[in-house]
Amino acid sequence: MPRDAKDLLHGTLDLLVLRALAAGPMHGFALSKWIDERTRGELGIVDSALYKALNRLEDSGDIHAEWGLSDNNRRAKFYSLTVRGRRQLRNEVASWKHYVAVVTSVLELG
Amino acid sequence: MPNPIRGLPPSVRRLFRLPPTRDRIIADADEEMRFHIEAWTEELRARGLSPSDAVAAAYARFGDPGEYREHAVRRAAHVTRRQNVGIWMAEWMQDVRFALRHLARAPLFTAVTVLTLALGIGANSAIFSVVHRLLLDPLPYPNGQRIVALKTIGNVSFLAASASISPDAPGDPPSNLLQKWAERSRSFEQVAGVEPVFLSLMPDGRQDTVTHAFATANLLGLLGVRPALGRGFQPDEETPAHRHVAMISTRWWHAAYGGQADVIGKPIEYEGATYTIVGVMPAGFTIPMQTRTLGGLQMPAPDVWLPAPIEETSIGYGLLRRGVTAESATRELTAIANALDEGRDGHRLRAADDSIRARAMRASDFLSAREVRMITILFAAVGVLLLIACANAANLLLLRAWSRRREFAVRLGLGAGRARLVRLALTESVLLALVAGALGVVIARESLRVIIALRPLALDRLADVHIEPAVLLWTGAISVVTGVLFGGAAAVFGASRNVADLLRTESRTASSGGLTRRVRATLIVAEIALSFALLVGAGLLARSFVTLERTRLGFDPHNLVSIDVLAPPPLWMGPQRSAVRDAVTASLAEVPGVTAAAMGTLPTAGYRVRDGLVVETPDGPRQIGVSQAVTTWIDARWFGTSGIALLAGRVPRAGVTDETPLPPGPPRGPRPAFRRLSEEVVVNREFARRLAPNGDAIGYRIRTAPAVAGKGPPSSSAWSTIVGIADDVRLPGMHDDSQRYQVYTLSLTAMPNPTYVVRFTTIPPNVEAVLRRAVQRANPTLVARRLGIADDYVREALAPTRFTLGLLGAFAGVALVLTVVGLYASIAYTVSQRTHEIGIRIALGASSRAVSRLVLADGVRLAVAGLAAGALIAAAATRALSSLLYGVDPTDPATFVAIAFLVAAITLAASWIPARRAVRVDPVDALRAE
Repeated sequence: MPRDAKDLLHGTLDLLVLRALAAGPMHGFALSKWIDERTRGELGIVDSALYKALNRLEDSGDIHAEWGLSDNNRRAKFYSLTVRGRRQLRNEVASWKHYVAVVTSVLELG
Repeated sequence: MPNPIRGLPPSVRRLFRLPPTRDRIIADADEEMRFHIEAWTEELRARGLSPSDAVAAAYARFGDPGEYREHAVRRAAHVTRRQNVGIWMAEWMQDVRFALRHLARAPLFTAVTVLTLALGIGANSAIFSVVHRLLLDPLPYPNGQRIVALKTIGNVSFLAASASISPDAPGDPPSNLLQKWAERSRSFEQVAGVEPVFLSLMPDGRQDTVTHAFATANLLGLLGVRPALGRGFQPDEETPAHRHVAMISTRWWHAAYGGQADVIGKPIEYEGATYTIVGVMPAGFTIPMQTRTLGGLQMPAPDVWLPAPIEETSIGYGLLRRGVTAESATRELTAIANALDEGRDGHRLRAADDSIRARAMRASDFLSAREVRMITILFAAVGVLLLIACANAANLLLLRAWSRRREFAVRLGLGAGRARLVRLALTESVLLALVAGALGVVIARESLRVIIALRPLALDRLADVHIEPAVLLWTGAISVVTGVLFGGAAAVFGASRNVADLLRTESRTASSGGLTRRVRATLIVAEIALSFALLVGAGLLARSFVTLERTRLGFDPHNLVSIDVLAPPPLWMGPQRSAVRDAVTASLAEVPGVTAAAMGTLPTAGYRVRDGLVVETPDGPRQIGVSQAVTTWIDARWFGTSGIALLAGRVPRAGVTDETPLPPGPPRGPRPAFRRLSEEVVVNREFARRLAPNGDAIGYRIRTAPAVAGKGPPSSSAWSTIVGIADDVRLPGMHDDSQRYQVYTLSLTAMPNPTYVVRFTTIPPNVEAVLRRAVQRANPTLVARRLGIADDYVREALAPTRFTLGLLGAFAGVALVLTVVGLYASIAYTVSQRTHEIGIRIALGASSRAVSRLVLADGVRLAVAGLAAGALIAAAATRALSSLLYGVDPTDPATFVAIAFLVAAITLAASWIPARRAVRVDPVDALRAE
């Protein structure tokens, strides 16, 4: 799939978000915590970028957003994967793995 | 209109899953961000940071809040825009569905309105395409607008020209004139020439069936076309040394070479010499701007083209420089042509007192004033038809709008916006117009097919007329405008009333709103008036046509044909020429199915010779002031074969000085007197009356004299004696003098190649081949060409009138039908509205006659007003027809009165039917019904 730097970043972030939501619906804060813990903060993802990714995915129909109540009864917007989103996640994971394998094989040629 | 969705509280929106508004989207983003920051602040405090540090860190890890907000704003705008479009689309689809449902609920109205508009649009598209093809863009070449044909007007030489061609017709200039124009004229970028070969001979002397033409190398360039294959001619190939190259037509390429690309380089034969094919002309290429006339030599598209320099061609074309008009080019050409005069020595080929008139003719100039008039009249007539169609559609739309006023009132009451109602009505009108447009295209296509079939020879260019896209757009626009105008106006009327008023107003009151009723009445009166005018025009033309058809021809054209016969010079100049002629006549007479054959052209197709005529009176020779006479070379059997009655005297007999074969070599001794007419001649009755008003012209002596003394060939013309008077022959519709005076003479030393007339019992399908074989049986070196059929001449003389009458009659008929339908609809509706009132009247004792009179009064009033207006319009307009009318005045009272009766009768009938229905109203039902 053709990508430039910005697309690459967006695509990776979208992938992470989809994977996170595969674990279950969560609101934006929970999502940022989830990603933070799994990546040990090493990717340096800015939170506003995360919300933009959520908007993108909502507009393209991969995730569904709904206002609900958080654990401490505060209003929060919950996101969940749609059927289309699940399919998209599967495809993107496969692409990503393929991409990594190809680049790795080139790099290891030396 | 305000979006009703916005006013609802968010919970309600959520309940109904309504899409979020712009502000809501932005507010949501803000709230999300706030929640996020607060949550992270708590989290970080739980991890041990101080409150202020935790807040700072939370903000830090979020990123730039301002930038995020901008993103949110943009997204909000984007999302709502998409939603609004969705809403509009949904509303519009709903409008269309409603409109379709309403139209389907009133199928008669819909069908009539659509048909009305379709007829108007279709007829207009067809006629406009005709105008476009003939006048606006007649040449199919890229440079078409700047191409002119270079012609001379009137005969340039004293040689005879076929009398069926008008003396002011454009003719081809002599080749040397064309060359001088090419060299000296500054009006043109290029001057090219074409020379068609009417007679190609094969080496064994037989006629070639392949047609050839010569062209200058710049012809294709001048027209702006490229060869279909290979290349065109180079300028140096016009010279004798290099000219053995040829181009072939696409048709010939496929016919003789199978369309193979290897045709380039192949050899081709012409008159014993070999040429190499270098290119193929584009498909359908033919000699441009050839006018078709009966009696002129006609040539199909040439198969083989050969190069020639301009001084060997006679059909000239010029490509005007940009900014130069055809008129200024004409002036320059005329100046050059007449300047050419000086310094010409020897014997001139034409009388010098009339100078050469040249003309640079655009394709549209080839139409005579009469033909342009014809087209203009048809264009105006079809425009009137469109007006009537639009008026009718408007009428019907107004009627329908009025009948739906209660429905509109209810909708208004339920809260539909006025704008929405108007939009609804407009959608209906636009739908109607679009369907009418589509149907109109079909009608236009069929009409063009009829027009092509009926076309007269002068409008032969119409053979490939088609619907111009511009025309469709234009007429489609008209129909949409009509629909919108009246549909919209109707909706506005319907929607602008006070709702309560509308709901209260029952049929009890007057039949319809004052304004709409007046508008509708005006429309109907206008329709009646215009239909009347069209019908009067058609009626006048019909009477002309009948007059024309009954014209006494003076001869019998049925199954009469003619054929030209050309002999090689030795045969022609030699002493055996009369033997040859007799052999041909005998051979023709022996053909099975032939009842008679003679030498001579078809009647009315003789030759016009530009000489004056002098008659010998007791007081001395007197020049006859006859504008021109037509000379026909005949033999003794010609009158019988043609079916022309000899009213007095006898057929001429050959005299000794008629045909004196010229001995070869220089003249020895005195030359015999030059004869232009044989010793004995016959003239027609009209001529005889001119010569001898009171007495018998037989015995009078007559001779020709050149137009101006001292010029032209030596005038030692000898006297001839008139021995017989023949019946007048004429073709229908000849307005001018060109056919009035006829002189019939026997064969002479100097006469054009003879034509022979043959009468069949029925003309066989391959008549030209049959005649050619008969001619060649008489002598194999003779060549036969140019078949003429007398019936064609007669039919072609009637054709323009038939064409105009057919179309104008069709328009007038359609107009009348539309008008009557509109009138009927109006009155029927009025009656249905007044059922209540009529019921009361009947209950109160009104007689049925009184009731029908009540209803008829309306129709009568409209009809009378319409006829009065129509008579005025017709009286003014039919003046335009006068050049097309024969034997009837443009303001002929009989026609006007007859048409008035027709229209009155039909409109009364249209009013009477609803009246009958009114009478049968049951008063009880009427009173009960609302």
